[in-house]
Amino acid sequence: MILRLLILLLLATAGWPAFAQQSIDEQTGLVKDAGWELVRAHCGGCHSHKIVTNQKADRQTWLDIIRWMQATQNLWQFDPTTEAGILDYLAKNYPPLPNRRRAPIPPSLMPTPDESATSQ
Amino acid sequence: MKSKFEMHDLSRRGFIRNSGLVALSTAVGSLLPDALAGAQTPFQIPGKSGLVVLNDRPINAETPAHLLDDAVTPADRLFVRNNGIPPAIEGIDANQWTLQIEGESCIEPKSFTLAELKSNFEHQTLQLQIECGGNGRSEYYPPAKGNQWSTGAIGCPEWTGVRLGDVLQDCGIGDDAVYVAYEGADRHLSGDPSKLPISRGVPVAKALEKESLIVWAMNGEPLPLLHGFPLRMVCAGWPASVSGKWINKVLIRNRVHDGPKMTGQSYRTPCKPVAPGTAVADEDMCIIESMPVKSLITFPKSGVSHTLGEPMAIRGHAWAGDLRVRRMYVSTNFGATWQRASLERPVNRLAWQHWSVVVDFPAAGYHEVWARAEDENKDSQPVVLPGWNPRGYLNNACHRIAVEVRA
Repeated sequence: MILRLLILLLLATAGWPAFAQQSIDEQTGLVKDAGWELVRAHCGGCHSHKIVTNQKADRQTWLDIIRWMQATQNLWQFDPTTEAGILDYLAKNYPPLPNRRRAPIPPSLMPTPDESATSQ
Repeated sequence: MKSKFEMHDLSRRGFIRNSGLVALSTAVGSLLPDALAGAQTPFQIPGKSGLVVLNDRPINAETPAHLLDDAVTPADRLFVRNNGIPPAIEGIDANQWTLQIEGESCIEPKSFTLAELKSNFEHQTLQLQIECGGNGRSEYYPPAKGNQWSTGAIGCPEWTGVRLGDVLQDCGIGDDAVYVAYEGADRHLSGDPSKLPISRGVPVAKALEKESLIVWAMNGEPLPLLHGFPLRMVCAGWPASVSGKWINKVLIRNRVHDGPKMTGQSYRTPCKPVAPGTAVADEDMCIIESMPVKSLITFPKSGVSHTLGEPMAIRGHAWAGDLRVRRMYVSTNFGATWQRASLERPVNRLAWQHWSVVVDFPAAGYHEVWARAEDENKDSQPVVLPGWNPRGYLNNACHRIAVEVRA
C-alpha cells in the first residue's frame, strides 16, 4: 500500500510539469506543442493521426517518411517553412526511444502490487 | 470467461453509439470510418473484442497474447492489417463477385463468379496461420516506419475455399510463369481511384502448394468484411500481405510481380545483414518469403501473480513459416536454463502447433517466463532482437511474460 502511494506520488510529481506545459488534443491525440496545427492540417488527410502519434523517429527519418508519401502516396508538396515546422514538431515530440537491444516488458504487462489474478 | 462477455458487450455498445449512419444488417458486420463517427467514445471495431487499435484509418489492430489462447483463432480475435479502405459491404453481392484470372503467362484468361468457383473446384478446409511481416516491429531500434505492432499480428483460423493451383491450372500456366499476384477491391487511402493500395503475390511454386487457397469462409462462416469478404487468398507462412483480401483479379506474371508494396523497401529486408540504422538502397533489399520460427505464451497473461510452491501450467502456440516446429522450450530464469515443453503436431501443414509445460519457481519474487521454439532446420528464436532492418520486419525474439511469485 505504501509502495503504491509512493508510486502514485512519484507519477504525479514527475508528470505534473509535463501536463502543465503540453496538453493533448482530444480529437487527434497530438501533443499541443508549437507546430501541432500544421501536423493536424497536413498529416490527417489520408490516414488518422494515430499513425503519427504511434511512430517514433529522428528528424531525418520523419523527412524520409514524408518523401515516401510524396513519391508514392499522393501527399502534396510543402513550402519550406511548413515542412520545417512539421519536422521540428515531429522530431521534438515523437523522437526515438533510448537505444537498447531489448526493452523490459512494458509497464502494462507487469505485475501490480495489488494483483489479485492468479494463474488458475 | 466473464470478462470475454463483458468485452463483447462493451464493444457492441461502443459500436452502436458510434453508428448512426450505418445499418447493422449483415452477418459479416459493417464498417464505420472514424471520420464519420464524430465519436466521443473510444474507437471500436465491429466484430472484434479486446484488440488494441494501432490505427483507425486505415484500420490496424492487434490481439493481446492472452486473447490468442484458442486453438483455432475466432473471428473476433484475429488481428486486422489494412493498407487501404475496404470496399463498402453494401455494394457486395457475394455470389455475383467475379474473379478474373489473367496475366502475361496465363494461357486462357477466364473469369469465375464465386458461385462458379464453389461448383467447379474441389473444396478444401485447412487451418492456416497468417502473420503480418511487421509483427514485432515496435521493438526495433532505431524505430522503423509503419504500424508499431507488438506481438499480436498473428492468428490461425480455419479457412474454406479452393486450391489456388486448381484454379490457375484450369486457365493454363505458361512455361514462362514466374509469379502469381492478386488485385483487390480495397481503395487507396488518398482516394485516388487510379491507385491500388497494395498488390502482392508469391512465386509460382508457392502458389501451387496444396495449402495455397482462394477462400470464402473463415471458421465455417462467410469471411468478415475486414478479412476480405467475399473472397481472399491465403498463402500461409509468408508475410500475410501476400494473402490478398477482397480479391477480384489473380495475375500469372512472367516476371517478379511489381505491384504496390512489392517493390522499394516494402516487405523486403537487406539482402546482406546491416548494422542498426543503416540506410539500404532499394536494389540491395530482397523480398521476404517464408517467415521465421516464432511462438507465443497465451496462458497465463503477463503480469500474473502466482503462489510459491504451486506448479504453474503454461501454454501457447508455435509456428515456423513454411516449416514445422520441431521443439519448444521455456526458461524461468532469464535464459540460464531451458526446459522442454510438450509440443503437438500441426492439424495440417502450415497450421500453428500447440505447446504446454508445467514449471516450478524456486523462490518468491519477480520472474519472467521466456518461450523459444526451434524449427525443423534447428533454427531457434533469439532472446534479444534479431537483425535490424530498415522497415522493422521479422522480429521473432522470444516472447516473455512477467510473473510475480508470492510466498
